Amino acid sequence: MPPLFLRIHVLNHVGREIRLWIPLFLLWLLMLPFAVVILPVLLITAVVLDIDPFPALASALRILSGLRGSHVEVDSPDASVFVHVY
Amino acid sequence: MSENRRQILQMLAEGKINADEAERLIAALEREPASSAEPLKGDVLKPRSKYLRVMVEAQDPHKNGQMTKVNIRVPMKLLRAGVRLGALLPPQARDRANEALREQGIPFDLNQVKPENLEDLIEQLNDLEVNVDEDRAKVRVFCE
Repeated sequence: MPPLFLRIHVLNHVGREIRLWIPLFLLWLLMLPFAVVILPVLLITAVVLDIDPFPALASALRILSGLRGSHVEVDSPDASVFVHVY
Repeated sequence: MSENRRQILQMLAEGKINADEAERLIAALEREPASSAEPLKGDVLKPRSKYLRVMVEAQDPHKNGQMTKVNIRVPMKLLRAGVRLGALLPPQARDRANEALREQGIPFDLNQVKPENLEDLIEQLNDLEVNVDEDRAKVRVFCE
C-alpha cells in the first residue's frame, strides 16, 4: 500500500514553526488521470533505454509502498526538521 | 507444512495407509510437542529487522560547538525495493556506476546484486551495528 500521510514539522531558530499533515492518498487520487497519460510515455522511454518496463514499474510501486515508516529528524542550532511517512 | 505431515500425506496418496490411519497419525503428530526438526528458540526465531536506523550526534564548530542531531529510520522494505530496482538497470548504466564506485575507492560490483541474493543481503544486515564514538561526533548505525 502506498503511503497515506506525510507529516512535516519545521521549526527555525527564530521560533517560526510549520506543521503540515499532507494527505498523500488524495494526491494519489488526483494523480490517477495523469498516470493514464504518463504511463505510455514511460513505457516507450523504458523500451528505448532497454529496460523491461513491467518489472521496473513493479519496483517503482514497491519503492513507493516501502516509503511507509520512513522517518527523518534533524535537530540543529539553526532549525529542527521532522519528516515522517505514514 | 511439517516434514512428518508431508510424509503422512504422501503415504496416503500412495495408498500405503487409509484415510482413518492418516487422520490418527496427524492427530498424534499434533499432540506431540514441537519436534527436533522445528527451529529451536533463540536459534532461527530471531525477529527480522524492519528498519535501518542511522543516528548522528555532532558538534558544529561554526556554532560554538552546539550539537546537531540526525535521526533517520529507513524501512527494510525500501532497501529491498531499491536493490530490486538496481538489478533492473541496463548493463551499460551498471558498468558506469561500478566505474564511479571504483573511482571513489569502493570496489563494489553492482552486477553481483541480484534479486535471488537479496534476502541473504538483508539477512546479513540484521547483525549490522556500527558505533563511532569520537570527541566531536557519535555515529550509530543499526537495524531494529
